Amino acid sequence: MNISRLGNECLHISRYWYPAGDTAASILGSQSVRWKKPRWIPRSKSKEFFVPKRCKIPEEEVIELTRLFNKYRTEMKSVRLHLERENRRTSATSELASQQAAEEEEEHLRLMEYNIQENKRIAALREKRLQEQYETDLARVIASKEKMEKLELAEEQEALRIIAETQELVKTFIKREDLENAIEEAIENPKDYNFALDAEGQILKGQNSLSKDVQEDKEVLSSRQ
Amino acid sequence: MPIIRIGRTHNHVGMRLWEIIGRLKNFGIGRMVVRSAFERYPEPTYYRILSARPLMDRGQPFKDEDNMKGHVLVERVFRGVNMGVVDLSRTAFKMDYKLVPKHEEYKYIQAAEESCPPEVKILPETMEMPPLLKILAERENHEYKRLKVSVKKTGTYRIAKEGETPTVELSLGLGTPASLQLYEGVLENK
Repeated sequence: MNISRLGNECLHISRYWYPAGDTAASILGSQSVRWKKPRWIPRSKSKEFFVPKRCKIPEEEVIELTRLFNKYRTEMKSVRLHLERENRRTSATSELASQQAAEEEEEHLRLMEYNIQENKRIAALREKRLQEQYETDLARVIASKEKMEKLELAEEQEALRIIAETQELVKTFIKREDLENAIEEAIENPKDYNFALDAEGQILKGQNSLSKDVQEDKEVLSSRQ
Repeated sequence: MPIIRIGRTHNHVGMRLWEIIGRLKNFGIGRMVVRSAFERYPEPTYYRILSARPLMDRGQPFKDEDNMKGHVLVERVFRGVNMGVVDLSRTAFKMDYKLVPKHEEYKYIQAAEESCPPEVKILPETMEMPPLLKILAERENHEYKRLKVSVKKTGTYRIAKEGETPTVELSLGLGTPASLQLYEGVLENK
């Protein structure tokens, strides 16, 4: 294999495709491919002196195409002019836009004023409501306080009463120096706490007492309600 | 040795202006030349050379820069109208110029004197909108509901003034065909 043939084969491979640019691949991650003969490959030998014929367009076709193109250009120019004017009218720097901005600003100021007035009105209502609530709370607290004072007073009186009762009871207690006498008295006077019941519910006191000894006013056992 | 040109052809017929000038006495000042590209108009178009300063002997003809550059002033008559003195240096290299013999110059002058200016077409001031743009204009409340016709300031077209009747009708669609034979079997069906 000689060198020229190798070169031809390489040329043949490279004729299929080659990347059209380097920057596009690195930036976009895609690669443009030119599916043509590279620019540095000369014209093929078979077409070296070939001159393509100039196509002849018929006269009437030229006239008609010229007319249509003129018409197209006029219409497109008019459309473009219309859109330009409309854009100029409605763009951010146009008179209409500035007028609209002024109107919006005025509306905003008006709404802000309304907002302030509304806030004031609501504030007055809130103040009134809070005052009423404060008064109600105050009345409730005062009532509660009075009630608690009454309760405390009642409890105190009850406690005093209990103390007085207890002091009365304490008087009946057997003192240390009277203990001997009390024991002797108890021994001398025994008490019988036993009792029996008959069918009528009469209490018969004493363990050794007889029915004939029972007094006239017999005590009757009362049932618990 | 005759020159044989190979390759693609063009529409120009004639020689470079520098070739003509270089062969004439006193660089052809006072002579009349014409361009074949303007022969398509019914009115004559010609140039009268006033001054010429060609850059000569710059290389081989048709290979290097010989007969390619220079400064030339001419009096231009375009479509029968004298346009005054113009600088023709930029287009003088084109192989489109022909020298008019002195005994034939009167034909051009006479034709220019006899020619009348072409009829000015008057276009309407406004035209109808395309359908989609019409819908858009109504929806977005555009200022104008018809398109204002825009044309360049040429001698052949102008916009109609107030109270003037336009001679050209602008309408959407095909319009009036210039060559009816191209639409055989197409327009008849409609």
